[in-house]
Amino acid sequence: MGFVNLLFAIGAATLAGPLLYHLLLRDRAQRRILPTLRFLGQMAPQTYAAHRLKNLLLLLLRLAVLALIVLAFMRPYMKADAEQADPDKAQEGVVFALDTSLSMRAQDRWDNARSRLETLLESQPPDTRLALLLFDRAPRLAVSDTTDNLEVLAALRTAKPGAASTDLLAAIRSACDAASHLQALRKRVYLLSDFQNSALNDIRLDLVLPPGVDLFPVPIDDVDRFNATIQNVRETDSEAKDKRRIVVQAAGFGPGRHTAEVVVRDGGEVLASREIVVDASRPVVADIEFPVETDREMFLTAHLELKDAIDEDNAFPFKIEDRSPIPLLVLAPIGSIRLGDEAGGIPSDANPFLKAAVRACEPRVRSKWLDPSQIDAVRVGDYAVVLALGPEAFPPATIARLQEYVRSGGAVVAFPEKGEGDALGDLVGVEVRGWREIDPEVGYRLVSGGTDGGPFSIPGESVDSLVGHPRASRYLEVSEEFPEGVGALLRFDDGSPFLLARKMGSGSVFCFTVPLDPRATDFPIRASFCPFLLEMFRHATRRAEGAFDYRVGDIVPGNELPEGGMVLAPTGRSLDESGTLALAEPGFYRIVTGGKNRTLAVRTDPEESDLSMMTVDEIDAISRLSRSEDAFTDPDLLTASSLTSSDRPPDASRRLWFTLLSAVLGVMALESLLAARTVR
Amino acid sequence: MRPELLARIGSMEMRARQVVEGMMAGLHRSPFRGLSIEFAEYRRYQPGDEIDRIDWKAYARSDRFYIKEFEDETNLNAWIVLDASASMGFASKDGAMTKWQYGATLAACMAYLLQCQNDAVGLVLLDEAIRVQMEPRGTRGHLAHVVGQMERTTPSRQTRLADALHRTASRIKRRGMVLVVSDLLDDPAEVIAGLRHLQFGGNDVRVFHTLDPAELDFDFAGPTLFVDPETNRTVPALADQVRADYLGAMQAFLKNYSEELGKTNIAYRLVNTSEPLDRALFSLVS
Repeated sequence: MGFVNLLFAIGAATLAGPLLYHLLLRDRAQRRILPTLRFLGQMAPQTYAAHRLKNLLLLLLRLAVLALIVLAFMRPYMKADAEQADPDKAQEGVVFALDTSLSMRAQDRWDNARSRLETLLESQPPDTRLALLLFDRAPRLAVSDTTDNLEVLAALRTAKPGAASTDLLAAIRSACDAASHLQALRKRVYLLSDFQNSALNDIRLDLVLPPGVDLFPVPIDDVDRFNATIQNVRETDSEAKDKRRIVVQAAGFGPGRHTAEVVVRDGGEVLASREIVVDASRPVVADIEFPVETDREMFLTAHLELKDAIDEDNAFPFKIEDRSPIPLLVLAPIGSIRLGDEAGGIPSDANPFLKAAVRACEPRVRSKWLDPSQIDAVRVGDYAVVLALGPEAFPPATIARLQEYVRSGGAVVAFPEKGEGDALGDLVGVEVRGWREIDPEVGYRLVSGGTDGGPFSIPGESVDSLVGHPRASRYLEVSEEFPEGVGALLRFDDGSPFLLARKMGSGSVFCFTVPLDPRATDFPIRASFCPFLLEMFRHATRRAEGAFDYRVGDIVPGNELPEGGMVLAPTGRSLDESGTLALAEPGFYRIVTGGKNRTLAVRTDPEESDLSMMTVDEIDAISRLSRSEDAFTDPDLLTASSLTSSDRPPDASRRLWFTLLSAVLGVMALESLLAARTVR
Repeated sequence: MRPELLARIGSMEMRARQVVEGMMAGLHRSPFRGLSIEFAEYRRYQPGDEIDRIDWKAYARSDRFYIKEFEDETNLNAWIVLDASASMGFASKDGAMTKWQYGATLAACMAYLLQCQNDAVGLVLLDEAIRVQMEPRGTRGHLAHVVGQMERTTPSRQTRLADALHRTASRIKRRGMVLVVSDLLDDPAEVIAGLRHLQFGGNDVRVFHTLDPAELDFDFAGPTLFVDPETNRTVPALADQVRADYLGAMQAFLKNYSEELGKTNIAYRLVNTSEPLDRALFSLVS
């Protein structure tokens, strides 16, 4: 058993009170001569003995009341019996949790951390069970359970800070878990970190330490340093045809204002640079324009060069997309179109909304219009996107061609017209139940039911901002039992799908459930229609690749990687055995499959650049959650506090406390009853 | 006079005189003529009787010879039997008379009163045996001896009252009056047997049952360790809790004596040592 408030043991001195009271003020039997003693009867000695027994019991009850009150204030808690009883366990078990996040590269933090760890390691008594946990975003157990200091030192020598961000909560959990598996009676976790502000998100709410583990924060730096980072880069339209333009958003952390230079590089070649002044008050936005020869896709890196900055923290890899026109094949059931008509020859009797949209997308789109029956006249593979109008009426051969085209990496965007026939279902892979009509005078469906993920599931942005709440009174009703690979990207407010997506081979099919007919929906006449359509084309051609942006430490699951592909990491080949891709370095990862390349931009977490640390008060505030007065305290630590668990969960400890208080009340009631019945 | 005031008088003879003279003053004009000249009965003249004893007045009325008999024509032999056991040395309050002092003073008063009537007074002091026996005499010097003997005696031994009474009864050769002053703390049946033995010899037996008010009222409180003065046996008790039982037993004890002695015409008088002595003396002469 242990006690949270051992100092309250001083209260045991109050036990002397009832003792003195009973000893000094007790009823002493008066000695009286009585010749008529014979009339006292046999019961007199028995009642007297009972009286003395009651007095003794009263004393014991009063002592018990005080003892229980003192015990309750000492807040006892139970230690695991098994741990105490196991003679094979060592006395001490220590887990060193060492921060290897990007911020540990700043100045001499890493050297300080290693030095502190070595000092702590030397101070451990012999036979201490040791473990070493390295952590940044993800904790990794470098040494699991050993009594050999050299093994820990060897692991420490090979460790170095990476480029990932810090998740202190995950580190504490893993370290405590490792500690709980140590074969030791008393376990400690030394958490060596720079304790960045950003690293300790809701730990106060979530932290529940396992039984018997004490946590000691060891801050290895107490100086708030200035640092800056690039938070985002996006491309914007340039007025000059031979230039590309980007907007760089940078942010500062820590005290003061500092001058920094944003340098845009293509590999080693500097394309442009711009000087900016950053501080912690607000982000700085800088427009940078630089000349390039073509509209081709380029993978560039923006560097923020700042004195005292972390070496790798200032690089922000980004992509400027292929701005060449997207080749679009429009399959519309129109008989008057002439074979070979190009953008200039859009048939006059085609769907006017579709015509307007395609025109609005020029020059970003170069379209070709064909009747579905004429599909054999062109090489569909030459087009990045096929826009199919009324595919339910397409001949089966056309549908087969389109499916083959999609499997080979193409993209089809479809709008239904009549919705009859199985062709649409074959193309999208869902069961089409038919048209559902609502009297527009009575009501309609709004596209506001959210998304099932995909490119239109953008965190922080509502569906409104994407499509502007289009409404429909007539739409296709489809079965909700989607096969694998099919999902609803946008839905009506009643949950019915508005935009379906099907992954087929390496390509995709996107199908709306509303026709391009203002009598059925106002979608085609909304201002958001054309931009949305263009965004779909860009998405379908992977020019706006949503999965392009990654953070160091992210894991790309195997199903998102092409089979047989080779991954080229920024510093070499990388693909782990499980088939997943761990993105451990900032920069560009290139996935090469056959002739196609896919590039992932992996960036550091901008918050990791915030080198300001938590205050001692904040660490103490965490410590006060469950501090143990008798916990070991290292005077060398910057904060002498510890994050200590009760050896039982808090509820159990509280229950024990309430049990003690209940016992106090019970004993007091018994004492009152006995005192009332005892003749004084 | 209150016993506690009486106790301040050092000489027992003085005490007795004080009590008796006070009482006699209260008996002024009383028809009381003395104890030993009381008429007993008439009987027919028998040949051999002295002619002087014939009641001529009765002869005049009835024309027959009658002899008028008195209980004791000459002097009354009075035996004062005083319990000198250790239990008689008890007084519940400081400064109050012990049962022994009270009983001895009462005995001295009786002796003085009897001596005033020229009656002979003897003394028997007993505890577990007869400690002192002084034959009755009517001289004034004898009274001083009796009182002096009582003054010299200290109650100390255990009580075996019944045996002592039996022995006393066997030693009294001439019938008379036997005044027993005791707390009677012995087996009641045996004590009563002893008293009846005294009565059996033709004695007028009068018992003065002397008890302390604490023994009668049991005015103790709280945890108390009671000690028997004769045996030194101790009994711890909560006085408040045992009072009712005690008083019940005491009442039964007193009632037993009162009823049993009443049946045998032995005068029984309960004497509370907090009462004035003349009350007890009144019961002697009434």
